[in-house]
Amino acid sequence: MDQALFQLINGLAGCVPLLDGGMRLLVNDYFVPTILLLLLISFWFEGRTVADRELNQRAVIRVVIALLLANAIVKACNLLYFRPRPFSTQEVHLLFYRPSDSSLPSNPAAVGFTFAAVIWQRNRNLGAVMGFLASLFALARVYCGVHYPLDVASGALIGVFSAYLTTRADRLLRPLSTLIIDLARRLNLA
Amino acid sequence: MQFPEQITIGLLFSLSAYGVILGALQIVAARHRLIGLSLLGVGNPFRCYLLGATLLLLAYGWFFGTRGYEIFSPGPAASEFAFFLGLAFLAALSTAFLIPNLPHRSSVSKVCPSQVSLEGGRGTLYSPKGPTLAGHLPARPGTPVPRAAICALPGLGEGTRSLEPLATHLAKRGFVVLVLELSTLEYPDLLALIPSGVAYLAAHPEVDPQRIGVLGVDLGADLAIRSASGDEQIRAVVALSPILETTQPGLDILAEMPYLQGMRWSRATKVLVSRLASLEHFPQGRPCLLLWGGEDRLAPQDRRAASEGQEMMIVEGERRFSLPRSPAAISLTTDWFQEQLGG
Repeated sequence: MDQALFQLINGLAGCVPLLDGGMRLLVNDYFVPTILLLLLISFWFEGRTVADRELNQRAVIRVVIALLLANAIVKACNLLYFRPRPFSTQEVHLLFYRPSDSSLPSNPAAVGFTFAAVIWQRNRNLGAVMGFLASLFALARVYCGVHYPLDVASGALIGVFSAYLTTRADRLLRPLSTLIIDLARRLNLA
Repeated sequence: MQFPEQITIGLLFSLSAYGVILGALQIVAARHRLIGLSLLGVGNPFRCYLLGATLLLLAYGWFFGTRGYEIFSPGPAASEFAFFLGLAFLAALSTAFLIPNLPHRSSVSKVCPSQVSLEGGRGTLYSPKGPTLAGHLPARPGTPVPRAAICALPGLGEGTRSLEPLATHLAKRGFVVLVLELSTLEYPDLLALIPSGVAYLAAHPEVDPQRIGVLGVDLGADLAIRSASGDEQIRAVVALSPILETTQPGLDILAEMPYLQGMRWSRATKVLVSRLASLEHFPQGRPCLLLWGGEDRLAPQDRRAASEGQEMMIVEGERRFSLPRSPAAISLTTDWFQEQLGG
């Protein structure tokens, strides 16, 4: 099924030049992550009251911690299991360069969904926007032939799992986020 | 792609991210009206939004439009990527924080008030019939002499010029106004500022020593309240945006002033406000008016409780340092002084 779904999505590549252009914009390592970061920076300043803003800032700090956790999980998975990229084993429509690391799990999907899942718990609207961007990012990875659907799905699961763990460990992480916010407040940054 | 090429693409990405983040910060500044983050000020938020969007589009357009080969080649690893992004973020934040601190040309004043030297400080005297205002603000015919006088102190980090519109208006209405420089921030030295100004006014031939009021903005307001409590010669006090309580303003300070001024403001007020303890020193038996701007994000959380027992008014739409220039606040202050001290 993973293979069939990959063929279906990647099979669309090369048919509509405009769609290819859009996917090439989305698939690279710079476009979506930068937008996610911009949204995160903006979220740091949001809040009608000081207390409201502080909750948002705690969420931003949780995103950073969850990103570290998600990256660690992806690295650990890569050490345990190597799945060749689709272009290594079959003919694909490749619209991107040839990454050499393991295909499963997808690190970009993990990153995108970590942002979305943490923020979703604090702000549904922004979380939905980030989730949409993360989904496009993941879809573009399959469309451009660098990941299987299962890779991006597992990456997304890792992202959501990291967000869940970080939220569950909030009591444990609270002193750290309090310290960061206090320090930032002294510098008039929070 | 070779290692140096990865560094090159990283640096180019950093440059593009710098523009993109700076653009996003301008949009944030426009959205939250943050003076301390805006390259163009927040007087016209549309300009700020436009600048932000332009920077964003230009930076994205340049990078994705011209670096096609590098973008579709293996780039920096995740840690290097985070480093370059962090670098861009710090550079953009520094730019947004520092540029609003650059001195800008202030408008040329039409009046030339006289500079006076006092014991331990300097001041600017606005007189209804003083030679310095001749030709601009002629004294109203029939105005009785001697006159009521006001000793005024500007806010922390704001010069005496910030009180020029208010002082000019008061002078037009027949008051002699002495605007003091907040020349020291040392405690208890600064407690001598207002008494020296009041003594100067009391000895001035144009002034009726029984009709002297004080006015202060921000820290100057706290100092005015504190000085009035110990000086029976002061008959009325107007405190514009007094601080009253020590707070940790955080990001809110960027809504009021540029970043570096904000750092100085928070450092100085942290110590001085608690030492002045103006909340415990409201002058007994003499009228005191507290005025705040509706948009003042540094005002005490519960202004009504903080000003208990005093007259309090809020001027909607004004911030901490825009309040003394606001026509509504100028009119309220002048009318109130006229009522308390006579014109």
